[in-house]
Amino acid sequence: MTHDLLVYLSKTVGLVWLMGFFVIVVIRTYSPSRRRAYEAAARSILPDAEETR
Amino acid sequence: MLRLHYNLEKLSMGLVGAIIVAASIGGLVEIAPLFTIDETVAVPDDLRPHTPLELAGREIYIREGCYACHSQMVRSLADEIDRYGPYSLAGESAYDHPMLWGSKRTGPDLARLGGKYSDLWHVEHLVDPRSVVPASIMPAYPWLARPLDTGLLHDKLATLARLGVPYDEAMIAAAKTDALAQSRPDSDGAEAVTVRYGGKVAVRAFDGDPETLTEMDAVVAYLQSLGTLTEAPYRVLAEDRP
Amino acid sequence: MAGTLSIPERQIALLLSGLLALLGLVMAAAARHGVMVVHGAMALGLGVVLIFIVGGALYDPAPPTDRMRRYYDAPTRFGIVMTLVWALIGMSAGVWVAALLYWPEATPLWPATSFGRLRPVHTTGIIFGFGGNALIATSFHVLQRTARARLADSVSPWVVLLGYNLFCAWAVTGYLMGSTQSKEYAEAEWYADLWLVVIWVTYFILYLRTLARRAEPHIYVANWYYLAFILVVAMLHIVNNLALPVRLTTAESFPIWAGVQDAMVQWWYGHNAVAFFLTSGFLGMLYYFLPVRSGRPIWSYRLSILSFWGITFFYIWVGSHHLHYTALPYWAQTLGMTFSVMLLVPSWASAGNAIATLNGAWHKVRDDATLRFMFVAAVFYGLSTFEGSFLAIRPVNSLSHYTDWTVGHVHSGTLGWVAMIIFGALYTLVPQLSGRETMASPRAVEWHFWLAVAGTLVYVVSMWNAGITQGLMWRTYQESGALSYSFLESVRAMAPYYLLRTIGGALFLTGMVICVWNCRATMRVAPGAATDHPLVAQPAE
Repeated sequence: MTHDLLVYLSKTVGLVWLMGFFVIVVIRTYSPSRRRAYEAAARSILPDAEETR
Repeated sequence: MLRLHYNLEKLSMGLVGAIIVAASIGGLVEIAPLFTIDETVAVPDDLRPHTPLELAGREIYIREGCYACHSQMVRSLADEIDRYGPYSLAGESAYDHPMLWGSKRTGPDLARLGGKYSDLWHVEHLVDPRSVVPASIMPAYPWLARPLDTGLLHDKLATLARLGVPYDEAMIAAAKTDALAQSRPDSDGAEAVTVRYGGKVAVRAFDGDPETLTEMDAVVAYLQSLGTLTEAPYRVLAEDRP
Repeated sequence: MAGTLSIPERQIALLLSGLLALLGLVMAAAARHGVMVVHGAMALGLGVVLIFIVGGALYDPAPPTDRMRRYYDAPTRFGIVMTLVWALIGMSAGVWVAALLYWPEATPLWPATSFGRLRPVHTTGIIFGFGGNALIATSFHVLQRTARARLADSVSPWVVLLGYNLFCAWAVTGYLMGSTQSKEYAEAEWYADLWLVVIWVTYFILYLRTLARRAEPHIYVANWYYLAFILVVAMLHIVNNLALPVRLTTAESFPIWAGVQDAMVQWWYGHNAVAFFLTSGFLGMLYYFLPVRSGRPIWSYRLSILSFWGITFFYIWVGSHHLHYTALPYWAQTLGMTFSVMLLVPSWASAGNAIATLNGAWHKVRDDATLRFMFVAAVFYGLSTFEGSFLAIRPVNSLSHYTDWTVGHVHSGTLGWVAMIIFGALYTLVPQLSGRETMASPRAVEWHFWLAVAGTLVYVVSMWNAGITQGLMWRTYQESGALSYSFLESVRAMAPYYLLRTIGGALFLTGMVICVWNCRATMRVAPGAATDHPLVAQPAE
């Protein structure tokens, strides 16, 4: 492992990793099929979970 | 308890895994190349490690938390070079475990302090800062007049040698006597210190009293060594500004 | 404490207390002199006290059999008490050292009370003592409520809390005796660091085991933030503190890192201590207590998840912005700067999400000081993350670095965001755990709120002025090409700001004293009512 190789890897794989990670997270978070589950989760901590809706 | 592994369902473990992955990338990309940095950052040829006495002073500097108010890192900015001296090089602190670059200048930067003031000035300044600098807000350190505990010096040099600081066997073996001799210019061992650590090492009664080896000796020896361990920053700056 | 443990658990606790006492004895005996003897004696003392507490209650009646269907709140209560104790220690030390910068002559000529030794007492006392205990205490509460499950066992929460506080006490007393690694926010010596690793692993396992018992399919987002806090802090702590002890029987050690590597590792740790200790965990607190207190679900749950990954991913890169224009390689500085600026997106998403949650409940914010604490916390979170990204830009940093602007920035985060959200959580939790509707004195909460806000503003504004003045004075040139000001002139110019910041800190501390009194009065009033609450069943889908 030379210094130049490590820097090169940082600048390429690191970048791809960053973008890929971002895309995966956005898809998982905003996929319409998960909407209901997330909304239920947001209400799960409130005592009157059912009454509010 | 035995069903623990079974109970750690995929979601919570998946979450843990994803957090580790997400959080390690930045560290790996930024820090991993620094492990090979010795290929790009040259350790100056003339860089010497601290003498045992200076090392003891450095430990006191750490003990008293001096690094909380004084940096030892001149940035490559015109005003800092004009105020303090040549900007700091990475190689300069190659033997510093830990580095003392600091993060705050309640007081001035100390990277180029060595030789700027006399030993006597330092002693008076440490005992009562406002006696020499009336507007100073530095605390006083009168207790530095107590004797220096050299009990661990030998082991400290040996530990640093294991971490890659170039202390040889002779330096480690003579750690205690060198510490004493560096503050006693007329003693037998005084010359041995300059033989081991180079002719530029200051051998003086730093606190003005060659009889007892005090913490003050160590701290002043350390402060006077700052910026004098290598000439490299001066060379590099001269090349930058022909 | 011992009364809530079952008989076999008491036996385990007795065994662990014995082991702690033994460890302390061995440490003290092996070291024979220096800091380690004192620290060994402290461990021995704690072990013996615990042996008496647990041993004395060994044959007391067993706790009610239905306890497994109740939440386990005794550790949370203890954690809150420790939070308050450390708040007083850390904040008093802070105000005192702030005063010393204005009246340096007031320093007693006694090594332990010197500025350099007290400053880490302030930072450790606040970050680890006050912040850490608040995080652990609230995490136990939030974890159980959101998982609808009791903590996986009753011994390990005590191991975590007592062990953690022993670490804090070791660290702080060590500094007073001059024992420090000098790594900022990681000053504790090697054996304390090892001890913390053990405690932290226990904490992590307890968290996962409790999550595994959850009666709720989804892991609520607050737990994600707490988990990231636990996991990443472990990672940071271990890497940054790798050190070689001079001898196994002495406190002294040398970090294995040197020079530029040490600087990068230190600030990778240092800034992520801000990220995962002072942000992630407290966002977990915010995402639970803000909706609960306002009675409204998070404005966008999905945004909270997105910002979770954004924060976890981006933060880890930004540490190098502490090293602009230094001997750190230029590309590493640039990476740190870029990610610091990008970090603004998830940070503001979190702050905006919190504030949008309150939209429609402004009347509650107006009337309820507790909710107002949380609102102010979210606002300061937004402000200080903006300031942070701004200060990370290289040319801005050339002015601000090494000055009091950085100190002001840190305090706008710690006073304005971290402490405020802790107060919000405390004022929600303390009455609930004491079986009461409200705090003993709601008026005192109001007083605390205004003192805290005023103190923060005075502090932060004076430090902004101080820092910018300093930065400008250092870089101003005369027409002749000489520097205009000596360093000493910049020191002299700081005096009024240092006085103001001391006053700001004192106001904040006064509010804290009121808070401690109020919490004590609330927790004392009805000890009988403070029984554990039954688990809340999962609502039918």
